Amino acid sequence: MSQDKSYLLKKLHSLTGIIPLGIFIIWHFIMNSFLLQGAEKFDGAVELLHSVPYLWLLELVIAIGFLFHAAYGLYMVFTARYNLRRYSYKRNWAFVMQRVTAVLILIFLLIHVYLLKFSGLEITFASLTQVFDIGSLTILAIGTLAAMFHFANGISTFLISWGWTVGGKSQKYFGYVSLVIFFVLVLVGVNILRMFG
Amino acid sequence: MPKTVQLKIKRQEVPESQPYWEEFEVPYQKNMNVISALMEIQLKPVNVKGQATTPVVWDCSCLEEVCGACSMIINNKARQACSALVDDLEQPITLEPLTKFPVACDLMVDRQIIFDYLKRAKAWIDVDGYFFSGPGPKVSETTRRFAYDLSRCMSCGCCMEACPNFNEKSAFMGPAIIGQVRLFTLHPTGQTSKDQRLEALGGKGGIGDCGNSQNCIEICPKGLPLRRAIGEMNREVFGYKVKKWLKAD
Repeated sequence: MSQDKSYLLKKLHSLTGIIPLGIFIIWHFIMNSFLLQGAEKFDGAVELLHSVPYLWLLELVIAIGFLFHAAYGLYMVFTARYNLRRYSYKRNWAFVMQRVTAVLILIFLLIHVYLLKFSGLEITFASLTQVFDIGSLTILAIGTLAAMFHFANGISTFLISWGWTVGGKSQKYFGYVSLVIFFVLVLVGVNILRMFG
Repeated sequence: MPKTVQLKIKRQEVPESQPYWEEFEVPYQKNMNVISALMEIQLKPVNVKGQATTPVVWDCSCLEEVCGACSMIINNKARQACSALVDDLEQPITLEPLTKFPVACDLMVDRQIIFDYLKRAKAWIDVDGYFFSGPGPKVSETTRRFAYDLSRCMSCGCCMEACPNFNEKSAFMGPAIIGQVRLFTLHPTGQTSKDQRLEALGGKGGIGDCGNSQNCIEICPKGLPLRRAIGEMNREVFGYKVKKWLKAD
């Protein structure tokens, strides 16, 4: 076995973006969408979620996946030499946006996870409505947009990097699939935020 | 008043010195290309201010877009100077040396790293014997066509110039290397040393460092099927790595 582990790290980086992070973000949106069924349903869902057995293990897997994805991702952000001004092709835009959103998401998540998990705030519809002003809703909206772009575009590049979509036709087709996933998830996200508006 | 061609050239005297811009105006000729415009400067090295200067240095050889030597940045795009026709270009024509390779002088760069990487990836086919051993295995027409397209790579470095992940901070070997590995792993004789090439692409600066910006596909002057080459090598390298790990003692 060669001593260089960069290929393994790259593959793990790509994989952690889908499992556990991609799966988690969809799960997160489904749980939040209980808001659409009313405050009691939402509060009940939060209570149920907090009583899931081995929750700490799931959280640990997500946390490790996230920390690795973010750390190796930041290294990737800083080892690229951006040239969008010269080569303003569609995929190069996506390449740059994937890295811009990466940094946005990281900043957003530091705030988001601190405030909603570690600050001791009670997670009920009533208490959240109290703390969510227009500023925090805007930050949530920006974070959602960035995360959904990053996830949707990440699916397309995941399929290329793992050798699934090899040709132009399949790459184009899954580009559209990513676009649909992006819009659907953004609508689901907006629908959640609307409940606090 | 005779027609002229305006040129704006990024010049650099020695590898260590600071680059600077110099403008030129040369007489227009029908069907001239960037090389012939540079030759006019060589003939009469006087800049647009009327000052005598040194002739601009550049690299070229075949003049028919097959050798890859005259790569430079022409009006903000990496391409071959020989196939860049003055009539098709917006003026003033800006000429810059490639930015991912060390500048030797003016527009001439040192592309040695491409050949070092080709060697690291074993981008050639070993001789299978020094005596006649009959005809080689048959290759299907579709494979032959794909291989021929890949064989048109001229190591010009345009794909590396346009690739955001090919730079001084990264070990990435670049799209052309992946294309050539695809070519030589398709070849029936080349397949005998396939593992060595996959080992290189699965190692430091290998295919894992591709960031899918796909600028290489857009910029390649020869229109190489790099999308398919990279896609297939992604699959091959992953399969090779998994099988190798499963079989390892």
